[in-house]
Amino acid sequence: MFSLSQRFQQTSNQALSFAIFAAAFVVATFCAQLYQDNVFGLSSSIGNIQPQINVRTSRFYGSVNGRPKENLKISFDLESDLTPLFNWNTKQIFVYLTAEYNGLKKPSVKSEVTLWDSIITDKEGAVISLNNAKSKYSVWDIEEKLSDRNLTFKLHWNIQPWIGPLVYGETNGESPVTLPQTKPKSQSARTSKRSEAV
Amino acid sequence: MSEVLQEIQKKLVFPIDFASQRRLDRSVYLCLMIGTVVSCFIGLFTQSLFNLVVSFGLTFCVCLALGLPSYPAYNKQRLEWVKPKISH
Repeated sequence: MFSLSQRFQQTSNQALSFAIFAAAFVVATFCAQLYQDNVFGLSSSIGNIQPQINVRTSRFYGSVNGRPKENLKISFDLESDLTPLFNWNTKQIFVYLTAEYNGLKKPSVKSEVTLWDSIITDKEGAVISLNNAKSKYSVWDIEEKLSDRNLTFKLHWNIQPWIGPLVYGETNGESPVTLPQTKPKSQSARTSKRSEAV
Repeated sequence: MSEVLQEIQKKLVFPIDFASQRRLDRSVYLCLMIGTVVSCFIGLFTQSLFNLVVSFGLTFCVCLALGLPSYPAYNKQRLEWVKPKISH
């Protein structure tokens, strides 16, 4: 504390120590508020899921060596109120709709794919109400076929805070859907020709 | 060049006496501690991280204004150096 530079250094160092304390306080109250608002019990309603399976042969859609690969797209309705996720330390929320399913060859292996997502930056936009929305991504499985599987749709959220760790969670309200069986192309072509002839 | 810098450094020392150093150390620590606690509660009650950062920044500025300058009050108890006795 003798000279000007020493006094500046000492004051800055002490301020940094207290700033770390303040950051810890912010993180602690942020987590406490999340628990108080019961954010891990938020509900959502995912309905009117209309799956659409396309067979693709492009490598950009998961096809290997031109082998056909089933791609899934959906349209859906979604209702959820995520306003409790916003408090003084919330920067933005990443919301994503996933589908979970078991493998055909290995039924014990669970896969999860994201079909739709969104970034919410303010509390006003945290009430989600989508009607007949289209999925953002065309998804495929590592196995060739995706049809005839039981999918469970869930809405997940991820809080990105100003200070502290990312917080992950999911809403209550799963929607199980069984994907339709796709017909082989040649068979569907034949049936359409027959109907034309009749 | 380095001699010029050394000369400037010597002029920028702005020393204060030992009693003021001890007093200043305690008061800056106390000021920062109270300021941090108050800032935290201001932020929490207004639910604004911006308010917390602004009030903490103000506290830091007050502490710097309190501690950095070598006010005349900080130099009232200067040490009296023992004068050398020259014996012939």
